[in-house]
Amino acid sequence: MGRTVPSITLLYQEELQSLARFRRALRRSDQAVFDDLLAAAHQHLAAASYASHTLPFEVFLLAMLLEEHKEVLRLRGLVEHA
Amino acid sequence: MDNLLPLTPSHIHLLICPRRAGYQLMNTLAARLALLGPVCVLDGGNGLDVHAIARLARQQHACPEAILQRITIGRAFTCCQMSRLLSQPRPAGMPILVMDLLATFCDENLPLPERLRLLRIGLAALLPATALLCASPPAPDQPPDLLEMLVSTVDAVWRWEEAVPLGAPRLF
Amino acid sequence: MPDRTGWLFDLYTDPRDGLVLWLLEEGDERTTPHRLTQSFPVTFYAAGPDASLRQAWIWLSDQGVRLERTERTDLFLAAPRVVMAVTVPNAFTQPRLFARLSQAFPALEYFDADLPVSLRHAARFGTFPLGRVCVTVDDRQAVQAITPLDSPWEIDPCLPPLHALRLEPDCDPAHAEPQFLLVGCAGRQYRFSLDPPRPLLLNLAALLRRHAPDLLLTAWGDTWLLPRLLEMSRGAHIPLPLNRDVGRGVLRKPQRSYFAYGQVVYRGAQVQLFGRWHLDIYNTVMYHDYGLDGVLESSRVTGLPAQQTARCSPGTGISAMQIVTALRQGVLVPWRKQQAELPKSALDLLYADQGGLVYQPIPGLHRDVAEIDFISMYPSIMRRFNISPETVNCSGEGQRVPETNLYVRPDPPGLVPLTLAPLLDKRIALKHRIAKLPNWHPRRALYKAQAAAHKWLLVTCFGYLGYQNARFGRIEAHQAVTAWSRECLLRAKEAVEDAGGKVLHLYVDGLWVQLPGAAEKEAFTPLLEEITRRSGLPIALDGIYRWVAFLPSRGDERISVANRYFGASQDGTLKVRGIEARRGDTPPFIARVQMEMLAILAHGEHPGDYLERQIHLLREGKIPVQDLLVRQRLSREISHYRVPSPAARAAMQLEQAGKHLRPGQCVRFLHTLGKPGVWAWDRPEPFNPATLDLARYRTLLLRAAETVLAPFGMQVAPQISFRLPVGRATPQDNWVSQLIQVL
Repeated sequence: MGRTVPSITLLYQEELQSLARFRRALRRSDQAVFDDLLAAAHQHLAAASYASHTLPFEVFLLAMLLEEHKEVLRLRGLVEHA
Repeated sequence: MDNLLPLTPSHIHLLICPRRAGYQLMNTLAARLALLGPVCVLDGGNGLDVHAIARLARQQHACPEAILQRITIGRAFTCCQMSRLLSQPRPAGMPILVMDLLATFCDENLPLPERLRLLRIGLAALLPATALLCASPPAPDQPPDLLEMLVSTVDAVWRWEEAVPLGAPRLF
Repeated sequence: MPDRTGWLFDLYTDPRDGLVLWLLEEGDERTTPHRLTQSFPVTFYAAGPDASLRQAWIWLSDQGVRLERTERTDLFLAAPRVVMAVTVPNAFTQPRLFARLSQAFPALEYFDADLPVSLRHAARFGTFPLGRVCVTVDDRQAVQAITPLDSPWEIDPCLPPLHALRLEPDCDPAHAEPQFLLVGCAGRQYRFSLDPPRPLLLNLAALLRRHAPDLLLTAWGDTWLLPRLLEMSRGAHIPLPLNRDVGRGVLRKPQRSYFAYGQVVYRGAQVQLFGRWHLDIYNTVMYHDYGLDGVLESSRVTGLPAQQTARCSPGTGISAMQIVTALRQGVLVPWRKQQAELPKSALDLLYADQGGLVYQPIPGLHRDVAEIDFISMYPSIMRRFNISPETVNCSGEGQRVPETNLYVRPDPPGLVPLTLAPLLDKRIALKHRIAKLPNWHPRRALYKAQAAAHKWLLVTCFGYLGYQNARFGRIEAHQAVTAWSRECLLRAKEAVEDAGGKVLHLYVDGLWVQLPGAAEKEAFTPLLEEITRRSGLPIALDGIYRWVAFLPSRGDERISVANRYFGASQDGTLKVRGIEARRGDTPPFIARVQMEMLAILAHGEHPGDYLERQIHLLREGKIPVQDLLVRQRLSREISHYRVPSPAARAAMQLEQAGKHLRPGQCVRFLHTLGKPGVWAWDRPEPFNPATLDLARYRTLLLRAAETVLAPFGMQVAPQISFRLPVGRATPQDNWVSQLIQVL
């Protein structure tokens, strides 16, 4: 039977679609950074799916933050060990 | 029921509308009615969009989870199931939204008289209710009988009209 | 009254004799077929309002049936149900009588109304196709008693030697008009010209009479050969004894396209026989994967006749097994499923309406990775947690399903778990035997075929639970299974992390895991035990990869995708998923080169020279044209393509040649120069190899090569050059050369 709740991949694609105009107007260099952020959200689709959140974009934002913080921790490690 | 459509209590309304527009309207209505109290959605075409309803709830500063909790959903994937769903008992006074009512009735594996019979049973069991049924007009290769039966059963019919583009204003 | 012992070969209804059974009696050299008959009345039920039932009773009273008011168990109701039992003395007439009754009284609910007779027989007597039985017959060969002597769950059943006659035209009839018929029988080969028909028909009829084969194994027999032979036989007035039962005609079913499980499926025409089997190797589900042994096994465990099992659609097999369980338990089998979904809140729907858990793997190359799989995960869950349409509820009875508002009653055992249990046990027993047998052992192939047949049934079983028309389907049961699968996988993930390990990937029923310092099987044993303890499900170590590469998406290399990877296990075997070599539409040549490159990498060598040689062969035109064929499925009617794909353009060429393809059918074509850029392989004209678009094939080949090389930090040179320089200097390069040294 067909699923009523769309798959997380589809929800992710929809969010991407809804941001397409925003992305288009960004400078080329910013577009690449923007894509990185969204790719970070994509890394955690399984967790986002399991969360079954009513507003999935909030979970995507958190996933982006998570990857950002990972990077902060990595860089902090480099600085402290330098 | 709601000021989006002037729906009257204890009446059955029918909205004839293209599929996608119907889904959008019904989801919006479901969210707005759920802001006021419990509502029942019967879905014949996998059209319920929980995330859209959650976004609408958030826009109205309501808790999306609480709003979704107030919506009772019943899904049908065959016309037998839809007929059963319509016949199920539910609290009096609870508004009922039926999305894409005829979708499951387009199954050509079942002869048309049988489908009409199932639809008749379902509609008879639904009465009396405060309900909005949504159906899309039949495709050119589909018989009109099902929609005709709906139109003759309900209290009021609403038809979707595409916006007519206004001509350029003329001075003379 | 004499007793006969043998194998039950075929069983069908007959207008005169009620039921016909073919018994293959054991003999010294070969079996002897016997046509037996049996009186076999069948019963079906109707339920509904008293007034309608009374009218139906009156309608039926002069139809030569026995009527009775009785009570039966409805799986979905707590109390027994009052029904009218209609017993038809001759099973042959039941379908027609039922069709008329249901038309006259459409509002009644019907049960046990459209069941295959072989399943009714299986439920009543414990018989099944190719099961050994002892029958007592009277002097008119009518069965008086029948006793099964073995069970479908026997691991090493004693099977009869089946005698096959092979029939094959000299070429694919879709490609060109065959000229000859090749016949293989009793170790000899014959070749008959298809024209003129008279000598062919006389010879073939003589062979059929002399060898009396048990089955006809044909190529394109359903779609072309048997219909053609029957037409010739009619035209020449020479009877062709295809059937063993001479009194019967053959059963023909037309071709059709239908929509199932999200894709268009094409089912070719069918020709089925009586007292003899006809199997078309091109119209048999997975014949090329598990052969005749798999067909026999499916038939034995499902109880459906072999001719039907071979051609049956997903769900039919598992449905048959559930019907037999229901009949044995005295549970009504609904004619049309009516259960609608239980009403629930939209929030509960959001939590329950989810699929299995699929991670985004950590991309790149990894060493010493264990692949751990839950054995037949979904069926095991149904059995372990007693998930069945009648046990799942929203009213809080029984055990709660994690993260949902669904509950499951732990007892009595549900219909679905009851059906699955012996199948699961047999599959696990077979897996143990396969693991113990050496590779050369003759039984190994047989066990593998049987296990494959079970896998097919078990995999379908889950989907069938949620299928809209499944008689014993229920969407909540489907949701409960996926909810438990997510829970069990997360418990497994937690067990790995508690053991200090890392989960690289997690996919529906398997995990890819690294444990620090663990590279041997034994090192993973405590982890496996812990996962089983936490999840309650059987789990197995599928293998340990020396290295495995998870690949990024084709479109965006920052994004990893779940099912695109390749790896080499410790014994050197390769496992690949989602790359070109696994795709059905990749030309065989390109698939072969990609696999060979992987094999070279698995040996720790550089595949550059090999690739260069293959590109050279391609450019020199030394690759056989058949190896460059692309095979694609048509997703719709040709006229419905807005922008015709290469496959659609090829299908248009066939259309012009008078060959119409239906949605779901495959089209084979070559990429050619100029417009329209394709050549449909099944066009009648000969193909001119000079028109091949070699540049296109080279691009496809290089793309496939790059898929394999990229995780190793190597690149394929730009389009024109054939050199294969070692790519950019990445940290991985060093790692790769180290790896190569280690290997």
